[in-house]
Amino acid sequence: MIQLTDVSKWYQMGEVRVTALNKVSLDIGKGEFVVVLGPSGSGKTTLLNMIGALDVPSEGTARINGKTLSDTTRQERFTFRRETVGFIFQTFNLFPTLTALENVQFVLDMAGKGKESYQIADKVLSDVGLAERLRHFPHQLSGGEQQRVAIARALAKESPLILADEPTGELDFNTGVQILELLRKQSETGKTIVIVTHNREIARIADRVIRLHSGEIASDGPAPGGKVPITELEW
Amino acid sequence: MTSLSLWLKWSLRDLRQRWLQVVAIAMVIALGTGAYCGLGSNTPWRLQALDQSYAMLNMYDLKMELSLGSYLDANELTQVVNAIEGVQDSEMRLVLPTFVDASLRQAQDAATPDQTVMVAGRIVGVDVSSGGPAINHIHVTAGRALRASDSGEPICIVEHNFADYYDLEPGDREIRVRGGLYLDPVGTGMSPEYFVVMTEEGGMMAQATFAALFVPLETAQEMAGLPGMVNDVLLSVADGVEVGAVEQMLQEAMAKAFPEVGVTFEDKSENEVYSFMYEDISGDRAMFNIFAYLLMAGAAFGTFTLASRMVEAQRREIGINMALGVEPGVIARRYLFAGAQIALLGALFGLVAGAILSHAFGNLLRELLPMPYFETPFQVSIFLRGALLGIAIPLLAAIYPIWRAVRVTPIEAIQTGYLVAKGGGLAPTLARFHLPGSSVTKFPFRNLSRNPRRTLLTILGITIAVILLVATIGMLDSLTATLDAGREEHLKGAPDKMLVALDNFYPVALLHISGDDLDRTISKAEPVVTLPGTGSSQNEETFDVIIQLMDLDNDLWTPTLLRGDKRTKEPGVIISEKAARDLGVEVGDTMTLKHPYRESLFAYRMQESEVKVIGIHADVMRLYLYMDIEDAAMMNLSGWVNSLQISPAAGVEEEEIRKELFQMPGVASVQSVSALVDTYAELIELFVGVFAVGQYVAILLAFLIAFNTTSINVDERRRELATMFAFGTPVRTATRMAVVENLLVGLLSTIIGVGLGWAVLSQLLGGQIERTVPEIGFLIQVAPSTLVLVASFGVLLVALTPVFTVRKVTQMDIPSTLRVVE
Repeated sequence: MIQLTDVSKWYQMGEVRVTALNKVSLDIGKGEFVVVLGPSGSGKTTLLNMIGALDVPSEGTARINGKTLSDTTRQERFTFRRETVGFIFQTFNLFPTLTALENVQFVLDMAGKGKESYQIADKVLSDVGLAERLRHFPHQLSGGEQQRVAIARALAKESPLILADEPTGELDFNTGVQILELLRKQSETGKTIVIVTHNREIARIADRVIRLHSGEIASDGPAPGGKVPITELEW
Repeated sequence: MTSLSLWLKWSLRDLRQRWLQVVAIAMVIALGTGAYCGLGSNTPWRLQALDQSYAMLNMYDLKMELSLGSYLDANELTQVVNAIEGVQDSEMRLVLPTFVDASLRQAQDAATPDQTVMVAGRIVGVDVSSGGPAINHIHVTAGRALRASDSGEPICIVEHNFADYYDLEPGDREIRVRGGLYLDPVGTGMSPEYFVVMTEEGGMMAQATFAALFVPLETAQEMAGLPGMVNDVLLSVADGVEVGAVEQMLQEAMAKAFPEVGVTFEDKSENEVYSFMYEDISGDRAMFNIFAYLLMAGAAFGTFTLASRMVEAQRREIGINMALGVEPGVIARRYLFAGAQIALLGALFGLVAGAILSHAFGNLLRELLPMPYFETPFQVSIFLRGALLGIAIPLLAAIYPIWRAVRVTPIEAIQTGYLVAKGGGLAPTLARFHLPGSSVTKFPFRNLSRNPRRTLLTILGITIAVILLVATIGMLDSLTATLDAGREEHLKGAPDKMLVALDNFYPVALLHISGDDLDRTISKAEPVVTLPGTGSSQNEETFDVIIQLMDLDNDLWTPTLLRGDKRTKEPGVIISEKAARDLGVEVGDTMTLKHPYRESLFAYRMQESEVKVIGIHADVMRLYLYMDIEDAAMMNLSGWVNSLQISPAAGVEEEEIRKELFQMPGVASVQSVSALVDTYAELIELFVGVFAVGQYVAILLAFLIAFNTTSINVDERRRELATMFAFGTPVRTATRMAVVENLLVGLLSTIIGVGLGWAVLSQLLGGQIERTVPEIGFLIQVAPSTLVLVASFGVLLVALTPVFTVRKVTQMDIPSTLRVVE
C-alpha cells in the first residue's frame, strides 16, 4: 500500500537547510494499523504529508497505492487525495457553516456520489454513533462528537488509506479511547490506518509502531511489550 | 512602558503582511477624500468669481423693459426714472432683435464665405457718452472698448462667448445686421447678462446660434429708425434702499407718466443668467457632496472590514498580551496606529487626487463659463477638512472592531481549536430552508450568513458604488431622453422647420413672403404671433412664458396634445406638463396670464388675464404656451403677426433660405429649430467626459470593495480551504463557490443600488437641477443599456473578483495551513 524509498524532505530557510526527513524507507501493507511515534520536530507530520500527497519528497520515491507521487502533477495529487486518502486532523477542521451531515456529504459530492451522498452520509454518521446529531452544526457538538464527524468524513468515501494526525490530541481520555476504537474497527475492514502521535499509550494498540527521531526511523516493529486491547490504555 | 516606536513598527508590519488589502482600502479612502476636496473646493472660488465679476461690471439692481413694440423718448424717460427716490444711477438702452451675418470672407466681395455664420441675435444700444455703459459694463476681452467718439458710428463690441465660438477677432470681418447694415467689430467683451448665452426661446449656452452686439445708443437708434427712443432701462439702487420699493414707485410713476405703455421689471436675482449661475454652483455642490459622502461611506465600510479581520487574526496575540498584563487600551494602540496609517495613506493619495481634480475642473469651468474675474486659489480649509474627514471616518470605523477585540477576556482570546468555534452567524437559521442541490450549492449561502455584519457591510459598500453608477449614467440617460423628447416634439413632421422673427408687428394681410426666389425656396409658411409673458396661479408660482398664437390646425407644425382640446369657445391656453405641475393646474383650471396688450402702433401695455387651461402639450420646456390665433383679440392683435414658422422646399439648404430672407426688410432673424435643440446636445456632450469619470470611479469602488472582502475571506477561511484541498477538492470548485458567493452579494447590492440610485437620481434631477434650470421638465430615465452595464459591473465584476485570488489560493502551503501552530 505504502512504499517509501530513501525519502528525504528538507526546507530551505534562507541559507539554512532544515531537514525534516532523512532517507526514510518503509513499507506499509493493506489493512495495517500503524502508529508513527515521535516527539515534536521528529518529522512525523512531514511523513504523514508525504504519504497523503500533501507534499512531495525532496529526494527519494514515495509510492502510494501503486502511484509514484514524485512523478505527479499538483492536479494529479488532488485527484489522488480525492480517491485514495481520508484525513483526520487534531483540530477536526470541520466546515463551521455545514451541519454534521453536510460535512460528510461534502466529500461524497466531491467524489461524485451525487444523489447517494445523503444516504451514505447518514449511514456513516450512524455507524459512528451520531444518528441523533445529523443536523447539528460543529459549534453545537462536543469535541468527541466533532472528531466522530471528522472520522465519518474520512470514512465516507471508502478511501483505502486513512491518515490521522494526533486524532485524540484535543480530547479527554474516554473520548479519545472511543475514537481509537472506531479507527481500530476500520483497519479490520481492510483499510490501512496510519496514526501520527506523540502519545506512547496509543502505540500499544498498533500492529506496528514506527518511531521517528530527528527525521530518521529509529525503530520499526511491533508495539513494545506487545499489542494490547484498547481497554487497557491509560493516559 | 513600551515605546511608541515599537507600536508603530508593529502596526506597520501588520499592514505590510496584508499590503494588497491595505492599498485597496487606501484607494477607496483616496477616492472619497479626492472627490470631497477636488469637487468641493471649486465652490468658494466659483462664488467669488461670480461675486467679483458682477461687482466689477456693476450689474444692474433693477431692469425695466417696455413691453414688446413699445418705445419712449430717452430724455422723458430719464426724467421720470431719476425722480424716483433711491435710484442712484440709470442707463437707457435700445434693445432690438436682429439677424447677424458674421460670416468670414477673405475677400470682401467673395461669393462664398470661408466661414458661414448666420444666427439670430440682439443689438444692445448702450450709452457711450462716458466711455461705455456705467451699469452693466462691458469687460473687453479683445480689441477695444466703446468710446464717446463712437456715438453714431457703425461699430460694435461682439459678445465674448459668440466671438470665442466662431474664433471671431476684432477687425477680421464685417458684421451684417438688420436692414442690410454693416458693423465693424472693434472688440469682443463680456457682459453680465451674457455670462451664459440664453435665448428667449429657451436656448442655453446658445453661443452657436445667438449673437449679442453692443453698439452706441445713437447707432442703434439710427438703425431702427427710432431717433432718441429707448425701450430698456437699467438701474442701480442706493445702498440701504429696498429694490422692491423702488420698483413699486417706478411702476406707479410710469403708469402715471406713460399709461399706454406696459413695463416689466426684473431685479438682479430674477435675471435668468444670474440665478442660473448661482443655482448651478449650489446644485453642483449638492451633487458633489452626495458623491463624496457616498465614497467616504464606502471607505468606512472597507476599513471596518479590514480592521475586523486584522484584530480577529491576532486574537490569540491579544489574549497573550492580556495574559502578560498589558492593558486593553495599550493593546489597542497597535491596531489604532494601523488604522491611522491606512487612513493617512488614503488621505494623502486623496489630497493629491483632489488637487489634480480641482485643477482639471477649474480649467473645464474656465472654458465653459468664462468670466471677467476667474481666480482659482487653492482652498486650504477645504483640503484640510477633506484630509481630516479622510483620516477620521476610516479611523472611527476601525475603532469599533478594535474595541470589541480588546474587550474579550484573555482566556477567550487565547483559546484555540474547536473551543473557538463560533455560532456560525445566521447559517443555522438558513439551514432550516432546504436548498436543492449538493453541499457545494449550500456553501456560498452559508458563508454569506456566517458573518452577517461583514456581509451586510460588503453589500452596503457595493450598493454605494452601484448608486453612484446609476446616478452618473442615469443623469446622462435622463438628459438625453429629455433632449430627445424635446427634439421629437419640436421637429416632428417638419425636421427642417425654421422660425422667422420680424422686427415688429405687421398686418397679416400685408405680409407677403413670396416672390420668385422665395417660392422656390420655401414650401410652407405659417404666421405666428410670438409674445413674452408670465404665467402664474394661486400657488404663487410665477415664471416667464413665450406665448405663441397660431392656427392650431395648420399642417406645418402644431403642439402635440397630451390631454385636453386645441380650442374652446373662450380663449384658452395649452401649457406644458412641467408648467402645469409648477402652477398646480390641470385641464379645466384657470391660470393668470400676463401678456402685452396693443394700445397703439408703438404702445403696448401689460395686462393680466384669467385664462382657462384647455390642454397640456408634450414639450419638456415650460416656456412655451400656445393659443389659437383666433384668440389674438385678447391681446388686441387680431390680424397682426410678428413671426413665422416656415418649411424649406425640398432640396433647399437652410443657409440659402437665411441668405434670401436676410435681404428682406422687416426680417429680424431666421433660425432653424434643430440648431436650437442642438445647443442642448452640445451642452450634454460637454458633460459626457465628466460623468464618465464618475462612472469609472464607481466601477473602481465596487471592484476594490469586492476584492478586499474576497481577499479577507481567503485569509480567514484558509484552513477550511486547506481542508477542502486535503480531501482533493479542485481549486476551481473552491473558486466557483467563492464566485457564487460574490454573485449573490453583487446581485443583492445591484438590486438595492439600482433602487436607491434611482432615488438619488430623482432627487438630483427633480430637486437641485430642476431648481438650477427650472425651465425644463426633466425626464428621469435609466436606459436599458445602462441597466445592463450596471448589472455587468455590479454583479459580474463583483462575482469574478475571486478569480484575482486564485494565485494566492493555488500557492497555499496546504500542510502548514492545516497544522495549528502551538
